[in-house]
Amino acid sequence: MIHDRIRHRLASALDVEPMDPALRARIVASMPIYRPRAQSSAASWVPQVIAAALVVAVVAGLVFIGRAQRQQTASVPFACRLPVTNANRTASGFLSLPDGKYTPANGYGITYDAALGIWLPVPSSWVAPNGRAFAYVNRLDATGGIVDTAMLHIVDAVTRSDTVWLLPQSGAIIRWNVDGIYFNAESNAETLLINPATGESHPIGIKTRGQGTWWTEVQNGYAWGLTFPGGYDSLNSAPFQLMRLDLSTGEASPWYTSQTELRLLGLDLEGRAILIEGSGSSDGSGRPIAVLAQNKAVHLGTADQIFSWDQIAIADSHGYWFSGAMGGIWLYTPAGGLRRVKSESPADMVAGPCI
Amino acid sequence: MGDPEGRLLELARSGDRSAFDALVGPLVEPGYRLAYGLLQQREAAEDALQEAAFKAWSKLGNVRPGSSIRPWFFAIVANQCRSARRGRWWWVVKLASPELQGNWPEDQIVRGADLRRALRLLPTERLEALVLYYYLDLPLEEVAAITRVPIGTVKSRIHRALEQLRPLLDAPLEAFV
Repeated sequence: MIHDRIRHRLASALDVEPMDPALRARIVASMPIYRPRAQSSAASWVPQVIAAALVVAVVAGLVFIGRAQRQQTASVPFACRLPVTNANRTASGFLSLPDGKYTPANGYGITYDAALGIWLPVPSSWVAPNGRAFAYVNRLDATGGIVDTAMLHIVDAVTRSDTVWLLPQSGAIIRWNVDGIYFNAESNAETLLINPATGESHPIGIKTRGQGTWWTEVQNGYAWGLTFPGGYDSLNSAPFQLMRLDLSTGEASPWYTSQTELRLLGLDLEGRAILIEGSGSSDGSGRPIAVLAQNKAVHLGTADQIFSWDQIAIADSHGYWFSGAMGGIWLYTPAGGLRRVKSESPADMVAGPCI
Repeated sequence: MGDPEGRLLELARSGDRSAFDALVGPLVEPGYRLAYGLLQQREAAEDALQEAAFKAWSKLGNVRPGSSIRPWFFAIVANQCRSARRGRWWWVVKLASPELQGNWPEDQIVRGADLRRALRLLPTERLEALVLYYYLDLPLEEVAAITRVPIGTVKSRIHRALEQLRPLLDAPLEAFV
C-alpha cells in the first residue's frame, strides 16, 4: 500500500514528458551500420556491412571522467599521423602529431587500412593481417527470422570483389589472424577457425562460452577472455579473472585476478592484455591496466586517471592509444605515462595505428 | 546460449540491425523513463538514451553468456545519465528548476514540481535506486545488478532517499527498511 503510494507519487511527478513515439525507430535507425555504396561491377557486395559492431577493436566512446577530463594535453615526442573517425559517420581523417592538426579524409570508414591507404567499413579485427581484404558476416535470411546459418563475406579491399562462404552456423567474428578467421559460432558455442580462401571451417576444440569464460581475443596462439563467476546478474561476485587459453594444448590458465570488475579492451603487439580494472564504485569506471605476465599487472595511469568502460584501445609501436567520444585521445607510453594528446580533430576515435 | 534472446544477441553481434531492434527496442521506452527520471529533461533523456544505445550496440561483444539484456542495457543508460549529470548543463537544470505546465490540477502541479525539484537534489546513487525500484518497478536484485552494488546497499540508498523525500511523499519512513 505504502509502496503503491510512493510509486504513484513518483509517476505523477515524472510522467510529464512522455517519450516521443518515434524515438525507438530513430534510435535503431541511427545505429551506425555502414552501408557501402553499390558497386558498378559485378562485385555487388551486400550493403549490410556492419561497421558499428565495433565489437572488439572499436569499442565505442572513451569517456574520461572526473579529474582525468580536466587534464592538460601534452605533446608527444615523435611525429606521425593518427587515423581518427567518429561514430556518427560525419568525420574520418588524420590527426597530425605532435601539433594536433586535423586533415579530413575523402570518405568515411571505421578502420584505416594503412597497407593500402584506404578506409574500411569494418572494425580492424575483421581486416586481414595484410590489409588486402576484410570480412563480415551476414545471416542467411536477410528478410527476417532467425536462422542458424550465415554467410561469411570476404571482400577484396581494393576491387571490392566479394567471395561468399556459407557457414554451418551463425555467429560473430573474433579476429582475422594469419592462420585464419576465428569465429564464435552460436548454436553450439564453439570457436571455429575458418580458412578465408576456401571457406572451410573446423572447430578448434574450445568452447566459446565454456567454463564461464567468454573468449573475445585471439592472438599468437592464445585466446583471452574474462570469467564471470556469478553470471551477469551477480556482478559483485568476485574474484573476476582474465583467462588465457593455450590453443595448442587447450589449457586455460587464470592470468590475472581482481576483486573488482574487469573489462578486456584488447591486446598489445606483444599479446599482452589491456584492461580496465573497476574502481569498486558503481559508476562503471576504473583504471587502465596492462597485464605483463601471469598475475603481474601495471597501472597505465595515475590514480586519478579514471576511464569509463566504454572506450577504444589500440596498440602500436608508439604505445597504447585510448580514445572515445567525450574524452579526447590519450596515449600511454612507459616513458611518458598516460597523457592526453593535443588534438583539434572533430573525430576522436582512433581508427588504426599512428603512421 | 540457445535461448531466443541469445540467438538474437549473436545476430546483433554480427551486425544485424533488426536483431538489435528486437533485443533493445522493447527497452527504449523504459530506458527513456529511467533517463528521464534521472535527468528530468526530455532532450537530455533522449540524448542519453541515444548514446546508451550506441554504446550498447558497440559493446554487444561484452554481454555475458546467458545473461539478460535488460540489466545490462539499463546499466549503460544509468551510466550515461551519470555522465550527463556531471556535465555543466545539469547544474543549470538542477538550479533553475524549470517546470512544465499542463492540464493538471493545480495542487498536483505544485506537488509534482516540488517532488521533481527534490528529486533533482538527491545524490545520484539514491535517485538511481529510487527510480529503478519505484518508477520502473524493477526487483531489488535487478536494481543491484544495474547499479553494481549489493542488495543491502540498494535498500539503504532507497531508505535514505525516502527519508529525504518524506515530506513530499506522505510516506512513513518504515515504508522501506
